[in-house]
Amino acid sequence: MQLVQDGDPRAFEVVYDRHGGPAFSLAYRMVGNRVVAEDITQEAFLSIWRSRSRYQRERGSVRTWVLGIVHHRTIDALRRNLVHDRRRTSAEGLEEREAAERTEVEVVRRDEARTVRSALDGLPGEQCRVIELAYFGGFTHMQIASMLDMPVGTVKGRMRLGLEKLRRTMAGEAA
Amino acid sequence: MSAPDHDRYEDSAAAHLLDALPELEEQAFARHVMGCAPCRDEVERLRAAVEALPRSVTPLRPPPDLRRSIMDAVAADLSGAGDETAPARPALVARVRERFRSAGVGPRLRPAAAWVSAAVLLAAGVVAGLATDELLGGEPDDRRVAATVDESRLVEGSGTLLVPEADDPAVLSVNGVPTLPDANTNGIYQVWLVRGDERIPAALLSVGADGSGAATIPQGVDDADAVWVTRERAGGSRAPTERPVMSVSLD
Repeated sequence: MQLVQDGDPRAFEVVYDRHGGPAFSLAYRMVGNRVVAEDITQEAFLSIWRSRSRYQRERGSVRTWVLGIVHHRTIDALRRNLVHDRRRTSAEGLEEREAAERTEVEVVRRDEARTVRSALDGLPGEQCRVIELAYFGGFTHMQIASMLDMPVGTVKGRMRLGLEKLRRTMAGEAA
Repeated sequence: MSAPDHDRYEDSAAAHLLDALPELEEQAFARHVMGCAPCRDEVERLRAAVEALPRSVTPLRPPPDLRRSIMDAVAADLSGAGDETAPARPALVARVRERFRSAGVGPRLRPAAAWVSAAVLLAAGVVAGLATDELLGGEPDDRRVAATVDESRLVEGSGTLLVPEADDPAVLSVNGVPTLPDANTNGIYQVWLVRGDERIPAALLSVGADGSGAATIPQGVDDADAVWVTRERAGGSRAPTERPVMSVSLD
């Protein structure tokens, strides 16, 4: 990462090779549209390149930093209503890229996804739902409260309880 | 040491970490947390859970040309003595708009839906210390449409589509839907927009252990004839591979 911060584009290629897949996957999970997910991923990586000097190792891994920026960019696109009628261009599915042979890294990531998914599935349904609507759907707590016909305070409380339980579950698995 | 207004923000740390606070409330929380040690501790404690969320996503391979596009943009940035402070988002806006035009579809950046506007007003209410529950009285422009379920395959399933004002994100909520054997490798519920003979991939639907789940349809359901749910392979399919297990008619 030091080379990236020094402005070495080849080092940045390595960052993309390591984290481009998870970044694209997250954007696609949030917008459900391949073309918009590509746009967001590209803009996020350009933003990462431009803000490379701000990365602080002590504040987290490169992957966490990258995915945080992708998440913010996708929320921004969702809230600014940019994800509009891309239906004709979204008709291409992703199955062709689900290669039959997977790299070792991909296998590890699938195992990791299964573990976290399992922890999420272990939450009470109403807690999991508000967390997913917020994190992956890009909705504010007030919008979620309106959708689910529940008080704002209940939504915020469920977010808090859900994240607390998820944290404990993940910490237990890591112990 | 907690700040004097700690009670008001006690439950806001989780929403802050999930990017779920409206802008004004986010700004207010950011100011509050600087002077409130318990809230700072809560943010740090819950951060690990939020950072795990993107790792739950089914990993997909990005298209090969995305790498080249990004590196071309980096090269252009270098050659143009890139401004590290310049925001990248306007380029995204311009490109999305250009694609709308090239597709013969107007950008249609409509005013926010009534419930989004209400959220903004509510955010102001929170900052001003108003009782937000009093302001939440249901949104007359929202429409809820019950789903038709194939009971031979979803025995206890039910679903409701929340349809906000045209073009805004719609949300499909389901209950009583069984989890698939392994959503990361063997299958996932996929949501489709049906328009005439077209079947357009719209979202992936995650279902929890209790059979409930929700999927956001970011582009809304304006001018769609129906919304379908089918069971597909991980990552989604190009076209439905089975009859819908659940459908919502929008005629």
